[in-house]
Order: sequence, then C-alpha cells, then structure tokens
Amino acid sequence: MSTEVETKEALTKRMRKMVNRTIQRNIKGVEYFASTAPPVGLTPKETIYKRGTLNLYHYHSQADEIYRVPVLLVMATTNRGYVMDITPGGSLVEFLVKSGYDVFMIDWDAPRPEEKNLGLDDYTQDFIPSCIEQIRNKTGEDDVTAIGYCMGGVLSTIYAATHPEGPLKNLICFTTPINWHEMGLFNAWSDKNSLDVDRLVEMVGNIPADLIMSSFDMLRPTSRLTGRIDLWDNLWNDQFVDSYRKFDRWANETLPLTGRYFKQVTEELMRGNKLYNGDLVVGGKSAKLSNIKVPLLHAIAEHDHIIPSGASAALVELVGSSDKEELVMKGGHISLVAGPNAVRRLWPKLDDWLSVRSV
Amino acid sequence: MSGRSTNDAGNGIRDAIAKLEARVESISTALMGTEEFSKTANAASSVQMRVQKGMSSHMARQLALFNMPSREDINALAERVMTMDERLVRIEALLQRITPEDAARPAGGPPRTKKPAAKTSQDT
Repeated sequence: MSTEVETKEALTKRMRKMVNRTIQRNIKGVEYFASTAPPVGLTPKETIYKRGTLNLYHYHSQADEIYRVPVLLVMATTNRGYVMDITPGGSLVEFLVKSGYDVFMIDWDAPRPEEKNLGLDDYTQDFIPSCIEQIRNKTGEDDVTAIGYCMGGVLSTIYAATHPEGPLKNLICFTTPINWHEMGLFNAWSDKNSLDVDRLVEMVGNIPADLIMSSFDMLRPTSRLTGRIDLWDNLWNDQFVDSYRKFDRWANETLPLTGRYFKQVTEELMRGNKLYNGDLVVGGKSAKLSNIKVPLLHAIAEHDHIIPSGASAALVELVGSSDKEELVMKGGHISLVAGPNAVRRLWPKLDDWLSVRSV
Repeated sequence: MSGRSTNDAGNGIRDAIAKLEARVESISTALMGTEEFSKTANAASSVQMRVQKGMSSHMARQLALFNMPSREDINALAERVMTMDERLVRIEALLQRITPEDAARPAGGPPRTKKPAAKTSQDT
C-alpha cells in the first residue's frame, strides 16, 4: 500500500515538474525572441592599437600587484576574441586579470576587401611584432608571453619560430594544428583535385564568412539541430539560455579570411604540411619549430572535432625548448578554453604553469 | 544536457536523440570524406560565388546609371585610406623611436612585483 502511495507521489511530482517546465519554456521562449542578444566582452579594456583588421586591446588591471611579464592573447583569425571574455565568471581574460596578469589581446575585425593580399607574413612578421612593440612600450617590460588559440596558436608559433632572438618569454598554445595531414575532413576538402584555390581566391578576393562557417558546420552536420533541441529542452533554465545565446552568437560571427592567407594556409600548411616538415619559410625566415627555445605549454582537447589531437600533438615533440609540456584535457575545441569545463580544468593549470614563469 | 535527473520524463528522448546524432555523424563523416563529395561541394560553392559575382557586377552597372558609387569604387577609396593609415602607422613608429623612452612609457598601474603563490605540500 505504501509503495503504491509513493509511486503516485513520484508520478505527481514528475507531472508537476513537466507542467512547470512547459509553462516556463513558453514564458522564456517569448522572452528569448523578444530580448536583444546578451552582452559579451565585458571586462574593461581599451584599444591601444588598430590597423585595418587588427585590434590590440589592453585590459584594465584588477589586482593590487601584477606579474612582471605581460600576456598577449592571440585570437584565431576565423573568430572574434570575446570567446575569451564571454561572460563574467566564465571569462579567461577576467580570470587572468584578477589573478594578477597584465593582459593584452589581438582581436581581428572582418578583413576589408582591400586587405585581400594580407598573408602569413603580414600576420606573423608585421602584426604580431608591432603589437609586441606596443606592449613593450606600454609596460616598459622587455619580455612578453604569447597565448595563441587555434589559428592564433599557429600564428604565434610561426612568430616564435621566426624570432628565436626574442622578446618572447613563454609560448602557450591552445589546440593548435601542426601536422595538417591529420586534419581529417578539412584535409580531404582542400585536396588539389577538388579545390581550385587560385580560382576561388581570384573570384572572391576574401573568403566569405558563410563558406568558412558552413565548412565548420559540416564537421558536425547535426550540431545546429541538436543545439536547438537542447535549447528548447532547457528554455526554463536562465543560465543555460544565457550561455547558449552567447556561444551561438560567437559561432555565428565567423570572420572572412583574406584571400592570400587562405591560399597560403591551403597550399603550404594543409597540402604541403610545411610547418610540420620544417620547410615553411615566412617573410624570408625559416619557421622550423626546432628554432623555438622558450618554455612552451600546449593544451589539447580530447574531443576536439575541429583540430583532432593527431594534428596538434606534434608541437611539443618538435619544438627545441627544454621546458615544454602538453596538457590533454577533457572537452572540445571551445569548451577547452571557455565555459564551466575550462573554469574547472584548464584555467587553474594555466595559472600554475604561467605564474612561475612570469616573474 | 543540463537539468537532467532520473525523475525526468524526457531522458529517453534525449538518449534517443544522442544515439541518432552519433549515427548520422558517423555516416556523414564517411560520406563527406570521399573525393566525390569534396569535388561536388567545391563545385557548388564555386557556382554560388560565380552567381554572387554576376549579381554584384549587374548591380554595379545599375548604380552607375544612377551616378552612384559601386562596391568597387568604395573599395578603391578604402584602399587609398588604408595606404594613408599605413603611412600614419610608420610616422607613429618613427615618432616613438625619436621620443625619449621614459616619456613614451606611461607611469602608473599596479607594481609588477607579484610572485607566484608558494605551493603547499598538498599541491605537490
């Protein structure tokens, strides 16, 4: 008899929960469509340098005492930098600033049509060095730590390999592709029998963001649909909806790529695998990974569907640094650096590694 | 999915969706990795780009009729502005080089004296 009562009670509880969530979904669903997108990138900053597609931000210090060596975050060329500052309490930038680092960030605007001739040499021999010079002038410190995410990691790595004389103090890469022949579907799609990159670049100048976004989407063709289902399922949960909208906004704000850069990445990195083979020359300088002697940390995501671990694992193996470490962590391409997974896993490790190398 | 509990009636549906997602993705990955797919997808993108280009040159002709600048004209202007921008950057860099170092470096901000927290025996 008592079991029957318990079962009835449990059923009533479940029904009540379902009805409550359905009502909440309807109310919140209307709110979702009626409200504007939640704000992102809220950590106070100023733009200290701007040139065309390039922005250099300096975040305001929030600690009484800071580490000597400033930190430069180098964002991927395909996406906006606010993924590193997505929400208060879930922002890598905020975490670093509050932990006592002097933080700068290279963020990219969509390249303009007249910037179609920017290539790897412009990004690694002009933009990054110019920003580092700005940071040195601003802080009065000679050394800088670079943290590159995805293609930002590739650019930082090429910069480090072509400037072995300094002033880089430490190099940190998040999910950075090195062995491009392990890039899975991207590798298949850019095969020279399928893709006429010269013709494409000649036709469009800069590679449109739509094309980049659809190639990311094709890596996980069901992700948009399951994302929507997930959103509907959790519409009652304000925290989930807020986070979903921020990450969805970020994923939809994919940036175009300059034509020459796309051609170089396709031909030299993807097809030629020159960064891995040690044959890459940028701006007349060899970008052999063995040239890199500074301390290196490379964080890789176990379930990264964009940069498989086979493509990124070679970095630690090939650099000439004696102080080097690879962190393989649970998570995907984005959850490695942002969101609750990153807060729990990557950030404390990053702080442990970087703090002792920032004095 | 967040908010999951053993009490939730939607768990069965969620599991079914997750399984279906994994199946569709493994099939599509196998399909999209083929040379035929790459050729077809790239050809489709190429046609789409060509149509877009055709549309924009048609639009440019219409704008010229109304004596209005086309995208190409605006790009040419932007290119000239960018050249000026680059010259300004070079001038700025030269000025920084001839300005005494201390004047170029703003004072203020917290001291750069922070040391890493000492590790306790539990941490190590």
